[in-house]
Amino acid sequence: MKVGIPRALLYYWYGFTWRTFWEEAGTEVVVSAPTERSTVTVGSKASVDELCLPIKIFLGHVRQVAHQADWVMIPHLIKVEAGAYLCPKFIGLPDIVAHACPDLRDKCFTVTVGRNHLDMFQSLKRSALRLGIPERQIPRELKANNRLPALYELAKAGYPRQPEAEGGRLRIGILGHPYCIYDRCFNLDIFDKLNGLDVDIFTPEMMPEHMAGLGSGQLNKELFWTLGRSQFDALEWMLGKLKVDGFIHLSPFACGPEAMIGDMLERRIRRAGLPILKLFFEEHSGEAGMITRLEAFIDLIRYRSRVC
Amino acid sequence: MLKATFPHIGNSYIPFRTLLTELGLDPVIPPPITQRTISLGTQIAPEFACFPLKVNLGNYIEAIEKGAEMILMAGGVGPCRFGYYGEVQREILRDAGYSVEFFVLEAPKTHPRELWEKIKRVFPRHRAPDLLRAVRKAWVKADALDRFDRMANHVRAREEKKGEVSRLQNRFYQQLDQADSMGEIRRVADGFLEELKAVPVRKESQPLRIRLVGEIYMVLEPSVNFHIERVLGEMGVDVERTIYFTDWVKETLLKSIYDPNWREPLLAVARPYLKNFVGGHGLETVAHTVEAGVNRYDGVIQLAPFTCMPEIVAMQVLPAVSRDLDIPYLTLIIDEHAAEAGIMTRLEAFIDLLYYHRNSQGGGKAGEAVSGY
Repeated sequence: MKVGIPRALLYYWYGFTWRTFWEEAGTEVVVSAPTERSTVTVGSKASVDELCLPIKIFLGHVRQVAHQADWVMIPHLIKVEAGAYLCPKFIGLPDIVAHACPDLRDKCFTVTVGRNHLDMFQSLKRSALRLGIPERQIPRELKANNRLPALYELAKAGYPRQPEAEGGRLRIGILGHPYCIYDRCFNLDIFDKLNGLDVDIFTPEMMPEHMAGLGSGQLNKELFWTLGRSQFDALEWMLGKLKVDGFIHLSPFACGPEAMIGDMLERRIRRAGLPILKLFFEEHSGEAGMITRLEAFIDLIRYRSRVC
Repeated sequence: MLKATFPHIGNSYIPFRTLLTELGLDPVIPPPITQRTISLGTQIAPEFACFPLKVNLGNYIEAIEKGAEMILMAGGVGPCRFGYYGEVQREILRDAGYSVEFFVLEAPKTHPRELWEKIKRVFPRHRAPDLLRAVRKAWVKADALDRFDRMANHVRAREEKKGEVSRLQNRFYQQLDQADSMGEIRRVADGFLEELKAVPVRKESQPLRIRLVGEIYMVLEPSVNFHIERVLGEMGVDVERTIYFTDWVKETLLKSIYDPNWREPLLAVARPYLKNFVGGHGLETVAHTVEAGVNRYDGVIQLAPFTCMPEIVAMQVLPAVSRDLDIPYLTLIIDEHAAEAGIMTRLEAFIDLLYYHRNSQGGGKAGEAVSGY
């Protein structure tokens, strides 16, 4: 039996956890290939125009992996921590998939990613039983390795890099949702572009875990989006500890939460007197435009650090 | 007295004015929403924030120009963006150089006492009897408004002289706003309801029945939805709005406190299509559309601000509802760039289509092939 996992959305946090579980349960796991232009095309064809690019990419991956696997796992992301939700589109993800790909309804099953590991483990166990896997085969525990896929993607891109002797490289903090940062097709391979510009980059997932909650805890009102909280934590880390030289914010076009979070991040970064480049991505994003702006931004920071 | 203001949402400024006055504040009602309001708000708001946030900001600025010193706003706990409006708006106004106190009323996080402390700090007259009287008076006004509006939509579709109901409605709003004592409020409310019943109507007409669903702000605020209820009504369409302010308070605010399963009936109706509560009014949109299909309404119009997340989930689901239950629907996405002409063209085309749909089903009478406007 083959279980397919779409390489999209919070796969970049929980993907390896899921994969390990299904492999230990004795199934063959197929993870969809990294996003390509064709994935985006397939996904946008299936969905209404108003959906954001990450969801369209997700639908593309569902379609792709459905060809290779007997079952497709749809993560149902409501709350992954206490007191905070994910985007309403994630909460309705099983419904979106059911209506965007009605022909795949019999192939898809839902796994609820709960507030802690136990919730996710139970949900996975229930799905495994429903797929007819005998109980003795189901693993007794869930190996916790959150965010590992993200770090793996970073390592593939060569980060974190060896520090240079006389601290010459610029440090750039990258903010955004994990599926915006690590999906190379989504962000037109920004790692590669920044590598070429010889700067060091830092992402929210590189933050040591004990710093979680420090940045978002300073907010006036508790933030109720997990992916917003992680960015405020990262901002605190990057401003306070890393002392980065500038920020790049990646977000999908017309992203709901990011419209608010991005604005509040920008205000804080401005108050700290640092430059920020905000990049919005959608199906029609062009590479040339992005490269020009990246180069100009990095040049500006270099010039700034020489002057100040 | 402290001059307090709040954002517009439909005609709720009438009960809010009463509420604030009774609690010992001096309410400053923002001027009616105009193009200027919208452009003021859009200038300082984040580009992809939803439309209500931008209009709210415009309201605040225009109220500050009129002398408001404090802004009252509601809050929430997600996942809809509305819950964080207060915080974002506070920062935006501060960075734009407006010095104004921002007061966000929301459910207490730890203990009900927290809310009580807040109320005591802001409202000068906060003794229990004062509070009770204020809330009761405001509630009677809100209830009267919603009762009148509900009926006005039915009568408007059938009125003999076009525009009569709308004129009556405006007069009613004015007089209710001025009514002070409980007796006067009741007299105005009952008197105008009688007048509304007496409006001459065409007996023979069988108007189209359309349900208005979608995001609460876009449905309730006529100046951002291009007065869709009035326009449709005067085209001879019986519009049934699915969201009313008093209903929202009763269901979303009160029921959620004492009945954690209050959403079950909605979920049950929407179940074949949408199985999750997706925040905002996404679930309501789907449930009310299903209801409209089952009850043989002629059509459904969904109103949503651009980038509204819950409504986008509903948009993905609605085609299936429409196909299965044979109910035509039209989605109108509105933001600061929406133009009246475009909306009107689409509404007229939709109405034509509905008449055609009704006739092709054999439901209409022979003489009704021509639409009513």
